Amino acid sequence: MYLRALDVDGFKCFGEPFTIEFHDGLNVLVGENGAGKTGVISAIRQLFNDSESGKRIISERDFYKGFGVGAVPAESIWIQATFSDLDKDDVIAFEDWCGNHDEAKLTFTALNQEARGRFRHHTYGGHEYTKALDTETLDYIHCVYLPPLRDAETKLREGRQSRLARLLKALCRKDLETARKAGELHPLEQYVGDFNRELSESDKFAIKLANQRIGENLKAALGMHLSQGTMIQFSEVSFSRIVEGLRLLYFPNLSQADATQFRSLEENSLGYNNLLYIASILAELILEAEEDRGEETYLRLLLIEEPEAHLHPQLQLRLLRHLKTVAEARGIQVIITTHSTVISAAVSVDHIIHISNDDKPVAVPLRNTGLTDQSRRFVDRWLDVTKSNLLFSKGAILVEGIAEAIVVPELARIVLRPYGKGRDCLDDYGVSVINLGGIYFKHFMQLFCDVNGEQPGADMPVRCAGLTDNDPPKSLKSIDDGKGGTKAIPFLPHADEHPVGNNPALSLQGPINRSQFGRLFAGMYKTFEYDIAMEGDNLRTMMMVAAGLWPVPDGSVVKGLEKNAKLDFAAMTSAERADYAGALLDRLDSDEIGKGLYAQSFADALEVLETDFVVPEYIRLAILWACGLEERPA
Amino acid sequence: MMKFTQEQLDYLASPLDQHVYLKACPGSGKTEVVAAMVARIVQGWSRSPSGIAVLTFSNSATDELRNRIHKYLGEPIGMPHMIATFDSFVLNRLVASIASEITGYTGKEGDFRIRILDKTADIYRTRKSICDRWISACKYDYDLGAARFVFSTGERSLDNQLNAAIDQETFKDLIATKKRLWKGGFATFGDIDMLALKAFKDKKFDAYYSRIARRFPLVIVDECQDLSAEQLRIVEHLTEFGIKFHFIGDLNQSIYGFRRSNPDKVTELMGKLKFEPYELKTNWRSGQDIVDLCTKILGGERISGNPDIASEQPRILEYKACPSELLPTIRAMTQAYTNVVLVARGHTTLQRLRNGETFEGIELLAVACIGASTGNLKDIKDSLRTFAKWLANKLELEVTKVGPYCPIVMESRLAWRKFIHESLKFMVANGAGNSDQTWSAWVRTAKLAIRQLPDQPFVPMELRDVLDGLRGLNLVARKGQGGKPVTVRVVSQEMLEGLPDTLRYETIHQVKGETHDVTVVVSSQQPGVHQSHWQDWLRDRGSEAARFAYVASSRPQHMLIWAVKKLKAEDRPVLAQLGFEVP
Repeated sequence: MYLRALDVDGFKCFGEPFTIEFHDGLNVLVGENGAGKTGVISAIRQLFNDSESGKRIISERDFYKGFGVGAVPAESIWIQATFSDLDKDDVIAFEDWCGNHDEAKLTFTALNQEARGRFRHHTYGGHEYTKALDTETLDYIHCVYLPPLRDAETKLREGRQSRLARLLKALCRKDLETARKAGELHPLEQYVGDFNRELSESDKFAIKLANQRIGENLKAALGMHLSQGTMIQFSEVSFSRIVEGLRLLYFPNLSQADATQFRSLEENSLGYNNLLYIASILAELILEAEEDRGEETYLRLLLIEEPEAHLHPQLQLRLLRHLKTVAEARGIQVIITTHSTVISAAVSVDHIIHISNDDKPVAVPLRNTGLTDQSRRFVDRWLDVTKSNLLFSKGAILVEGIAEAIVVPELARIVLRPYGKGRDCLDDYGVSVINLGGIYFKHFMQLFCDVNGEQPGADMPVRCAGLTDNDPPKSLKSIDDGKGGTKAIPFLPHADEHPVGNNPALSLQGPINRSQFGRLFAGMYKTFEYDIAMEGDNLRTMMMVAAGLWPVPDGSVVKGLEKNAKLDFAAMTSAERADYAGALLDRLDSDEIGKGLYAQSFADALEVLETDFVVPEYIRLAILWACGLEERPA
Repeated sequence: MMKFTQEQLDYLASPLDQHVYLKACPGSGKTEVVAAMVARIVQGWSRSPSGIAVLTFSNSATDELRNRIHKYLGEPIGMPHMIATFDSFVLNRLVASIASEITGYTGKEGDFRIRILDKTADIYRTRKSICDRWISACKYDYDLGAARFVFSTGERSLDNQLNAAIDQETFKDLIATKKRLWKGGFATFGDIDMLALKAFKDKKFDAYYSRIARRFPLVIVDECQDLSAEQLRIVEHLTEFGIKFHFIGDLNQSIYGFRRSNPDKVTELMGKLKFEPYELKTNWRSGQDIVDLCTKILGGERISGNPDIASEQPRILEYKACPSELLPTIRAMTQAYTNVVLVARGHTTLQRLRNGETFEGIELLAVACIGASTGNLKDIKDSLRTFAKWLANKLELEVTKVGPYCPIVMESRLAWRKFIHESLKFMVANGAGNSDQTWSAWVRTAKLAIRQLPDQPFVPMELRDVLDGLRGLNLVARKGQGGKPVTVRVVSQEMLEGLPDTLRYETIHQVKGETHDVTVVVSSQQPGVHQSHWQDWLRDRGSEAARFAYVASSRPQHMLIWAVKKLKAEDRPVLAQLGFEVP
C-alpha cells in the first residue's frame, strides 16, 4: 500500500481545504519558497510516529492564520491521509481503517483550545470517526523524517539511540529475542564480557593496577562499610550499551585501507556525513523490507527535506537516482522537498509534484496535467537544470531560442520601468525566461493549460506566456532571374501586409489564450529581431549594435550601417522600414555575426540605452502576463 | 503457574482450525487453561497481521484473563491479537465502521460514534401511544428468540401491559421509532447486535466481513453459556465467513436469562456446526460434599471434588423476618476464614442484609449526602453513583450508564464526575450531610441547598439549562417519617457501632467465577418472579433458577451455607435430602 492522498485544512499555510496526491515510489515536491512544501511534510509527520525525529507536537503556530488585517487563527486543524493499493495483508492489518471501503484512512484533528500547554487533538482510523484509534496499528507504518538542517555528525556519533545502535539492534532483533527467552547472553555480549574480564584480570596491562589503586583510596577514605566496589572496562555488558559505544569511521575512498587509517567523522565533509547518515537510514529501512527482519511494517515512508543540502550537483544526482531505485525496488515511499533544479531535472515529470500558494495552496502532480505520452517523454528529456527553473518560479516566459532568452529580460526592464524601483525587472516578479530551443510550446505549455482543448488535466497555477514568431513564407512572388529561371523575391511583411504565418504553434493560440494560466503571443510580422526592428526608432540602436560587431570595422558594411542608423525611422512608413529591417536581419543571420552573439551585444546595449525604445506589443503583453500585471480578460 | 492434568492438556492440544467446545465444570481451572491456551497460540502464531480474538462477557473478566495471559506470555497480549468483551467486539469490530451506512446517521460535527444509551433515556418516542404512553426507543429491544419486542420501562406492570398490547400497527411504529433513534446516532446495547445482524443480511458488506474473518480467523469465547440468541446468530454468520470458534464454558452456569442467554440455543448451534467436545471434569475448588450438593441441584454425572480439601457438610441457617438477623451468627461461625461472601439473587435482598431496609426516592439523596460526609473513599464512590442516579431520575436526564449516569450532553465523563462531586460537597457544606436530625429538618435543609445548586460556579456550561428544574424543586419526607431521626433508616448498624464489616455482600452474578472460603447463599423471604427463593431454585433442574443456586453454591472451598426464612416441617427433608445439615 502507499499514501495516495493527503487532505489538509487549517494547518500552517493551508487556510482552505488542500489536497495533494502522491504516488507509490518517489515523490519530489517542488515550488517556490513559502508555497507549502514543508507544510505538507509536517502534516504527514503529524499523523505518524516518526522514528527519527520523534513525535511532532502541535503548537500554536500550527494553526493557520491569514495575513489580512484582523485575521484570526483557524479554529481547528484537520489532516487526513488516504492509503491505496492495499494488498491482502495490508487489508487485514488496516481492517479498521478501511471499514467497508477499499482505501484506508487516517485522520488527525486538533482544536485551537489549549489545556495544560497542549492543544486538544485526536487521531482516528477509518473513513469516519467511529471509535478510538488502536495505536498499535500506527506502528505498522514506519515513518522516517530527515529535516533540512540535519546534524548528521551528531546522529552518527556513538551514544543512546545512535543510528549504528539502531541498525545493529534491528539486525539482531531475532537473535536478541531468542537469547532473552532462553535467558542467555547474546554472543556479542558473551564476547565483550570475556574480553573485559581478560583485560581487568590480566597483569599485562595497567588496568588491574589502576582499579586496585582506586579501590584502595576509596576504602581508605570511606572504610569497609561505606566503600563501593569498582571495575574498569570498555562498556557495560549489555547489547544496547555495547552497540551504543560503537563509532562509524570513514576512509575517503574504496581502496584497501588498514583499520588505523580510518578517521573519525568530525574530519569528514558535511556532504559525505549527510550521505552516510542517509545510507544508515536506508540500510535500516531496507532491512525491514527484507523478510522477517526488523519489526512488522506494512508501509515505509521516508520524508527528506532538501536532500541536496551540502551536496554538489553530481552527488545530488547520484543520491536521487539511488533513492528512486530503492523506492521502486524495496517498496519504500519516498517524499522529498527540493529547491534544487539538479534534482528536479534528474527525475521524470511523473515524480514531480508542483506546489504553489498564490491566493490558495494548490498541489499539482505534473503527471496529472494532461501531458500526452509523447510530450511527457519530450519534457523529461528537455527539462534540464536551466529549464527546471520554471518549477520554482512565480511566472514563466517560454521562448524559442537563445536570442529571445537573452534579450527578453532587457526588454522587460523597459516594459516594467513605469512600475518603479523594485518592480522593474523580471527577477522582481520571480519570473523565469525559459529557452525551449524551438517551437515546443505544445509540450511545455501543457503543464500550465490544455494546449489544444483535447487534453484536459490539472494546471500548474503559475502564469506562463509563450513568445513565438509569425514566420510567414520567406517569399510570396518570383520574378524572372534573367537566366531563364525564376528567382524568389524575399517577402518582408509590414503594417499593411502581414499575413498569418506558417508556424504550427499559432494554431494553439485559441485554446491556450482561453485558459486560466497560459497565453501564447505571436509576433505580427516575421521573427523576433525583425518584429523589434519594425517598431519606432528601434532600427537605429539595432544597426549600431550590428555595426559594432561586424568583423571588418572600417569596411563598407559598417559604414552603410552607421549611415543608415542616422535615418529617422520613426517618421517612415512601416513598408519603408521593412526593407531596412529585412536587410539588417540578413546581416545578423550571416556568418559574420550570428544571432546569438548579436543578442548578447544587443542586450548589453539595451541595458545602457537612454533613448526611447519601443517594445513590440506581443512581447510587452507576454511580459505583463507573466508578471501578473495584465488582468485576465473578462 | 499450574501443572496441567491430562484433560487440561488434551484441550491445550486441540485444533485451531475447527470449532471446539471445552465444557468446564466449576473449579476446573478453566480460566487458567484458557490463559495457557491463548499464550500457546500467541507464541506459535505466524499469521500476522491476522490474529485471534478472545472474548468474554464483562470488563472484569477481560481484565482477569488479560492478567493471566500476561503471566504466561511474560508480556501483555497485543497486536495482532485482541481481548475484549463480546459486546465491544460486536460494536467496534463488526458495526462501528459501517454503522452510518446501516443507520443513515450523518454524524455530529464529523463525529460518527454511536452513542450507547441507557434504558432510562427518554428520547425518540413512538408516534402513537401504547397503553396511553409514548414509549422511548431506548426502552425496548427486539428479542430474536421470542420474535417480539421486549419492554423494560422500569415499571414491571407497564412492561407486561405493553408486551400484551402489540398489534400490527404498533409493531411498525416501534420499528420506525427504533430506526429514528439509530438515524440520530444513538442505540442501546441490545440494538448493536441487531445492527450487526442487519448488516450481515446485506450483501454489500460481504467483502467487509470476509476481511474481518481474515483478520480474526480464530475467536475464543469464554463463558459461552452467556451467549444470547442474537449473539449466537452473529457467531453463526461469522462462521459462514470462515471464522472458527472455541467455546469455553459451562452451560450449567448460564444465569443471564435477563440478557436472553439460553443454554439450549448454545447447544443447538454447537450441534449444527459440529463443535468438537472437550471436557474438564474435576472440581479443584471445593470439597466433595459441596461438589456433590451442587451436582444434585442440577442432576447429572458425578464430578470429583478436590481430595485435599477437608469436606464439610453444607448447612442451613434460618432467619425469622430479615436475613440481617443472621449476621452475628455468621460472623461467629466464620471467624477462622477471611474470604466470606454473602450472596443473594437480587440487590433487594442484599440491601436488607446490610441495612435491614432498601432505599428509594428521597432516601437515595440522603444516603448520598450522608455517605459523602464520612470522608471514606469507598463511601464517596457509592455516594457519587447514588447522587448521579437520583439527579438523573429527578431531572429525567438522558443518560448513559457509564460515567456514572452521565448525561449525553456532557462530552467528558470526568467533568461530569467532578460536577457530581462538587455538588455533593456543596450539599454537605450546607448541612445535608448531617444525619443527626429529623427527616423534616433534613428535608428542609436539603431543599434549600439543592435549589441553589444551579447557580454555583462549578456547574459546567452544558448543564446550566438542564439544572433549571432544581430551582423550584420540592422535597418531602416519606409519609409518617417526618418526625423520626434520619439515622434510623439511613445509617447502617455497623457504621453506628464503628465496626468495619469483614463480610462481603454480592449478587450471584457478581460472584460468577470467584472462589470463596465461605459462601452464604441468602434466600429471599418468599418465592416469586424474581426467583430469589430457595424453593424457586429447586423446582425444576433445567431452569435458570436452579442454575442460580448452582453458580452460587459452587463458590466456596470450605463451607457452604444457605440462609433461608424459617422452614416449615415439610421443607426440611427436601433440603436434607440435597445434602444439607438442617437444624
